[in-house]
Amino acid sequence: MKRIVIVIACILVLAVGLFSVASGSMDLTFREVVQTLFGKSTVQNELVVFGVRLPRIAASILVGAALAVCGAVMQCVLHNPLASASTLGVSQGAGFGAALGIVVFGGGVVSSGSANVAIEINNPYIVTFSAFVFGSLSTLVVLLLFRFKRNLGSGGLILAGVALSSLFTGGSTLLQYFADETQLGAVVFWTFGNLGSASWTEIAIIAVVFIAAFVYFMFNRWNYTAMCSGTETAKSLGVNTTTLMLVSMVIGSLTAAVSVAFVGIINFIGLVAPHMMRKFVGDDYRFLIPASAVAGGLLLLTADTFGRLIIAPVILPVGAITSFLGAPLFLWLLMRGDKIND
Amino acid sequence: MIRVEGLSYSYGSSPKVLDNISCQLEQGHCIAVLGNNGAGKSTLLKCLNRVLVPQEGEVLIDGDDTNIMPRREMAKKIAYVPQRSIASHTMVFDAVLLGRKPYINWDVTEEDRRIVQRVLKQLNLSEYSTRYTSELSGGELQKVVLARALAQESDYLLLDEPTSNLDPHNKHNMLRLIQDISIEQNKTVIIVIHDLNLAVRYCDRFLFLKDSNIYRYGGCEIVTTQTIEDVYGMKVEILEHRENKIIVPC
Ligand SMILES: Nc1ncnc2c1ncn2[C@@H]1O[C@H](COP(=O)(O)OP(=O)(O)OP(=O)(O)O)[C@@H](O)[C@H]1O
Ligand SMILES: [Mg+2]
Repeated sequence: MKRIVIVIACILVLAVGLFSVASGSMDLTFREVVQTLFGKSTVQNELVVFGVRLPRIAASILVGAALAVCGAVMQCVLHNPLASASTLGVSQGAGFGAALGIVVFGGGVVSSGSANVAIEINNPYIVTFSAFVFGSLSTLVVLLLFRFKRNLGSGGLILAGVALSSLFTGGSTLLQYFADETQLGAVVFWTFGNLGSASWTEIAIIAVVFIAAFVYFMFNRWNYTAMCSGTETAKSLGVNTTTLMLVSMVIGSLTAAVSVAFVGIINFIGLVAPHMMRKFVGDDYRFLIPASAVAGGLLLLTADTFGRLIIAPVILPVGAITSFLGAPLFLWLLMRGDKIND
Repeated sequence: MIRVEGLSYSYGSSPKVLDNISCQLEQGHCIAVLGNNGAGKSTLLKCLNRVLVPQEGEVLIDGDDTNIMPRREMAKKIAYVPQRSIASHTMVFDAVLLGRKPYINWDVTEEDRRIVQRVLKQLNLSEYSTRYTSELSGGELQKVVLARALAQESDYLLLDEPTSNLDPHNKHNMLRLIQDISIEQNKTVIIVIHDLNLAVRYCDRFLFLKDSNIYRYGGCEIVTTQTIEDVYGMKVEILEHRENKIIVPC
């Protein structure tokens, strides 16, 4: 049953992926898509598929999956169903870091592509590093609050996240005043979330980070399941709860920061995908981690495809779409309220 | 055998809950930990398997210092049932399977599944195995948590009021089962239990906590009207009925 859910979600990802490759400003038939994928088509088709659409699709799936597994794990180790990179301010911190990297260290340049504006990062490592540093700063504040203010409750932690988010969003806005035109374009794009900007190199970096995080999380899947029954029970079952929490949070924020550094801030995927899958697989992290990954990939891919096609040729920023999708779900979770007040 | 030496514990900067406690908890006994609310019974249990790290003193399990013992090794030796259990959203079978966690390397083995099935059967939980723990009644959940501890197959069981939510029938069944396990498999059970009549019936060692310290520790003979009055400030009468002590307040 639990495996079936994951398999179905995988099939859906493939289906939406195929549809997404086929659709766009230049419509391809499925036949052409398959031909192109196997290298038996025109140069133009290859350019569209391999140069524009596939990287975008790969980026959506990877980033969605990465944000979702990080959310699933953060919710577990912080005992907080509302935890995720974007609700704890990690994404916004990373976004500010990326902006700082672009403006101060001269990271980004806007170059006009065909239909959409593509942003290239001159020095992806500096931008990523800077994103990670500020993403971690949020993580650090959250962890300190969690450690020393035990009576904070789950609401308090999220409020801290809100405060951090607005702090860093404000910071990013201020930076825009000091940015020149090209930098401004880059920074603004960051705050929206833009999947079209990722090149194959960047996708490879995200993939490596995601796979490393995924393997670590899967390796600890029993520990996370144990954590769901409370810290004391987990300890008595042999889990080093403090180490697990610290390492998971650091890996989670690193992964989120890398995603943010390359595609900008994408809200709610990390929150919504794990909760969707919990309905089917429960708190069993053996299944929840892979299921969240697939669901996250599916959600972001769907959102981005939607954003590309709805008022084509204008491409809506995917960050706005996920917020549109996520905010009502978030409110619904709050309204349901059962697991949120622990 | 668990040996406790000079153990002290305090929560933050508040006064010591446990102050310089020393005792030896012998193998193969069922030991009742008694004392009034807030006496530190739960705290003592948690200090024994380092769910709480005591500020002073040490706990030795079979001669090994728990200070340097990896958690995983300790989990193979000691199972623990907390006073308040949190129901996660997992199926009963998987929740009990978690008791095998200290032995799992990458994935569960057939052996693990067999043990879980056996324990579920022992506790009459077999037909619950596909129910979600978050949808169980208080008593059902308590049985599941006990099942998880039994699935751990450890030499020591720390049980913090494991029967507080059970009906009288289940209560006696569970305690009898625990007693049998302790006798047959020479396991040591350390159990916090408020019902003195159940304690004298199923336990053979009694540890009374009072004023952050051990007031008395010994066999059934120490459970006297005097001890109970000193510990709980309550006058009782002790009757004999078919070789069982019955404690009634007067
Ligand atoms: N997390 C905590 N933080 C601060 N003080 C605590 C904490 N847990 C327990 N205490 C205090 O420590 C003392 C001992 O608590 P403990 O839970 O060990 O009592 P107990 O003997 O198990 O009581 P009960 O019979 O009610 O379960 C109590 O006064 C309690 O208020
Ligand atoms: Mg207690």
